Amino acid sequence: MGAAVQRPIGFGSGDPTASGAGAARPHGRVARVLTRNIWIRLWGGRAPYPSLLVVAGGTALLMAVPLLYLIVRALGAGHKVWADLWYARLPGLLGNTLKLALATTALAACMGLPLAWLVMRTDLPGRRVVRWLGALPLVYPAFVGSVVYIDIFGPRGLLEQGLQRIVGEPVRLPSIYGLPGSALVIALFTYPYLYLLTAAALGNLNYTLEEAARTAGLRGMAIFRRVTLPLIRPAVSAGALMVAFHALAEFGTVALMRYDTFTSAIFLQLLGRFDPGRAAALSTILVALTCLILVGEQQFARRARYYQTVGTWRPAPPVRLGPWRWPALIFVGLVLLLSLGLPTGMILYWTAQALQQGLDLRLLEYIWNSVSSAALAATLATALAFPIAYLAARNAGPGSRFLHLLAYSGYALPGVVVALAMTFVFLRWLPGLYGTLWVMVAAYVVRFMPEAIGSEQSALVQIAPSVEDASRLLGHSFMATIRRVTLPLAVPGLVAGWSMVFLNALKELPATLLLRPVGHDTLAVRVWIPASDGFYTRSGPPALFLILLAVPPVMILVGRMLRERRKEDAA
Amino acid sequence: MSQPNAGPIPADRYPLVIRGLTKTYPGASRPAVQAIDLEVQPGEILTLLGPSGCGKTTTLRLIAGLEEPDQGEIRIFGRTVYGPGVRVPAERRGLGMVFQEHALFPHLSVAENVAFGLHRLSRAERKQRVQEVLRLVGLAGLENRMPHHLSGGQQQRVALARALAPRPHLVLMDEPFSNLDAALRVQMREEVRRILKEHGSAGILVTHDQTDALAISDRIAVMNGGQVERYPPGDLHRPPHGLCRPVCGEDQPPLRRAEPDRAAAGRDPAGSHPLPGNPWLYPRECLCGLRPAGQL
Repeated sequence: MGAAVQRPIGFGSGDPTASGAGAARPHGRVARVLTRNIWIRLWGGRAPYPSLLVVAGGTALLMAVPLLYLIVRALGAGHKVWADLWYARLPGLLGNTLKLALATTALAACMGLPLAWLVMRTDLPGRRVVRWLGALPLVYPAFVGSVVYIDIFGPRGLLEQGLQRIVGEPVRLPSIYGLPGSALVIALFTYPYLYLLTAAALGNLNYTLEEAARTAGLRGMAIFRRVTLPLIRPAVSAGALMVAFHALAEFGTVALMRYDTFTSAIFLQLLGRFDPGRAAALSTILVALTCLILVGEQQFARRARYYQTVGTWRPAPPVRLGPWRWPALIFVGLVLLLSLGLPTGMILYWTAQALQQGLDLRLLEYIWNSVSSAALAATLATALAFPIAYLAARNAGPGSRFLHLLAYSGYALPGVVVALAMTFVFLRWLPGLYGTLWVMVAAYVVRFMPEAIGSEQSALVQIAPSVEDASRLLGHSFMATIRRVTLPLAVPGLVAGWSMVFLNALKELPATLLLRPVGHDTLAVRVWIPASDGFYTRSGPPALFLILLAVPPVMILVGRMLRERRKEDAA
Repeated sequence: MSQPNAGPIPADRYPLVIRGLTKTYPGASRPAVQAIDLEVQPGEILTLLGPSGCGKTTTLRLIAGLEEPDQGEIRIFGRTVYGPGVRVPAERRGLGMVFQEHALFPHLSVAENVAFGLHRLSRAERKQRVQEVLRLVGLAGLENRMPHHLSGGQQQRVALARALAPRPHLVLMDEPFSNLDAALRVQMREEVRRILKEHGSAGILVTHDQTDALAISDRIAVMNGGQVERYPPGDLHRPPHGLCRPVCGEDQPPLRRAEPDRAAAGRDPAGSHPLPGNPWLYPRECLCGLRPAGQL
């Protein structure tokens, strides 16, 4: 048979291996393969779909513009400004801000950690309801909570008035202003981040591991210390950093509590003195702090995902509290009273009082303004986040990580800073749009899109790539596959991302305050304006609607975090 | 199968011809697939058999168009789908594929899954074709079920029906039985063979399980280290006799035991290493030994 034996189905002269067509220009070929290999290594071994890459890259670059331009402006502020800041303002502000972050995180840990353990691992009566209630304080922007606390505990507040009526002479309570009040209020309304992450980690914990420790001769506290704690530690750390992150970014509370931090100082520079260079310089230092915290948070969050059990999983039998359930119930009751009961009661009380003076119909306008701008921002952010989330989930490599990082840069900008940065950017490049709704919406998108990226990415990771491959093999193009397979399957993640952006945009105060078009008042602004003048009752109706609108997105978030694992998951 | 003496079949009628296909994953030190040549004859079921990491799944994904080769040429029914200057995307190669995890669309019913590749047909034609294919795989009546309400075997059948619905002449199967329990596995490989033959499609099966390979295929190509080993040169229709043991892990039963006479014909009775000499696998004859009630 000869040659035919070696190559039974010859290609004739067109056969590349036979004719050496591929070897004609070996250097060209090697160079081409090398370039392509370097390129696809950037994207985790799969070349990304071109138009998706273009959209993702464009979005990521746009998201990074505010931060980069802020830095440019800060560096251009001049030597004198920096020297001034360095010696006069910085030490005090830095100390105050760090103290606030630490105190808030510590207080939030005191509330969130025991609460998470009680509702996930014990037989606490009513734990299923408490699981949800524990996360509900997220509906409150912290500044609304501080208005409530100042009205109750502040000078000539409800408590002092009440005591005066009982005692018969004026009573002075210790001041609520300053660090203790700020830290307490921020902790009361941000501890749910820590609580939710910890509870989710505890719920995902595989009891088999604890049983293994038991068979290895460990008991009680030793198991907790050597098995349980290390396994939930990344989630706890991520949650704690999340609280610290919110404490750093908080403006409303520290302004009302008259505690000087970076955010209030920047706000003052902007509104009081209008010194944008100085504000930019201050902002970059605050942003450096938030960046540090965010980097840490991302690291821990990634590790927390690693520790989640796949495969066989068994729930832990609840610890019996016995007589300890009474102190436990008192603790839970106290936390819920302070973070949920008191503010809700006060807002209802203000609303009732405000209604006696007649209903202000402009309230409808505020509701519409809030809902429409938050929904617009949420929709834009959800859509723009998708290509970046898709690349991060399917083409995980240095390239997609870089885009991801760029897109996250807005997250490091606290509301005050994002307002400043957007002012710079729009006045510099799009002055025609300055003062329109779009500046405000753009600020929301820059600041909160990372939340959407996160939820979409985790939804996409759960969709098996082979399902998309199957669609390709059945004759559908990449785009048709995204439309017919990927998007329908990612709906839960899209909804969660949308509601997170909606919730945060709804609650955002400083960016709204500084960037809203004239006359475009949102609910948050309408809680703030009367409250900062001391007319608390007028804050009631807008606050009530603000928290009512925030309930559905918070429920979606909680449902996703604390989804109960079913028996099928174990199989 | 075609007659032994019918003469060579023209290459453009072969469902698949591969020449010099090479793929190195970026960052890997050696190629996952190295200069392999392969062809599939009309109506034939070919198995790529080998231990994990041998490059068999990569080969399948290269054929499907889910990965891009570094060099080489792939022709499907005489049409070059990958070659110098040619890159046909996966969706235009006209192949069917059954995935390891079935990869059914979880948001679509059985009928919608099967109809997914029939977007070019009219509604009525689509409906008719879905019925036809579901009957072929024995799932008529389950059209409206959702995938997660099906048993493993049923999911497998839906995956096969979905792959066959657009009438591909070549079906790729990536470890399709690995998620099934032992009894179902035996049943499904019979079924898959019957269905493919009834449908008249050629098939490529990738597996590390030699029992699967022997039960379902007309021909086996053993892969190791990114290369096809013991791929028979010469006349494809008259393989020499003799049986060797593909080495896919020491725990697999040496098939020679199934037929002692042929074991004697093999040249290494100790048999845990690749046998020298003629490396032909001829499953049809193995089946005699493995399955006394078999077809031969």
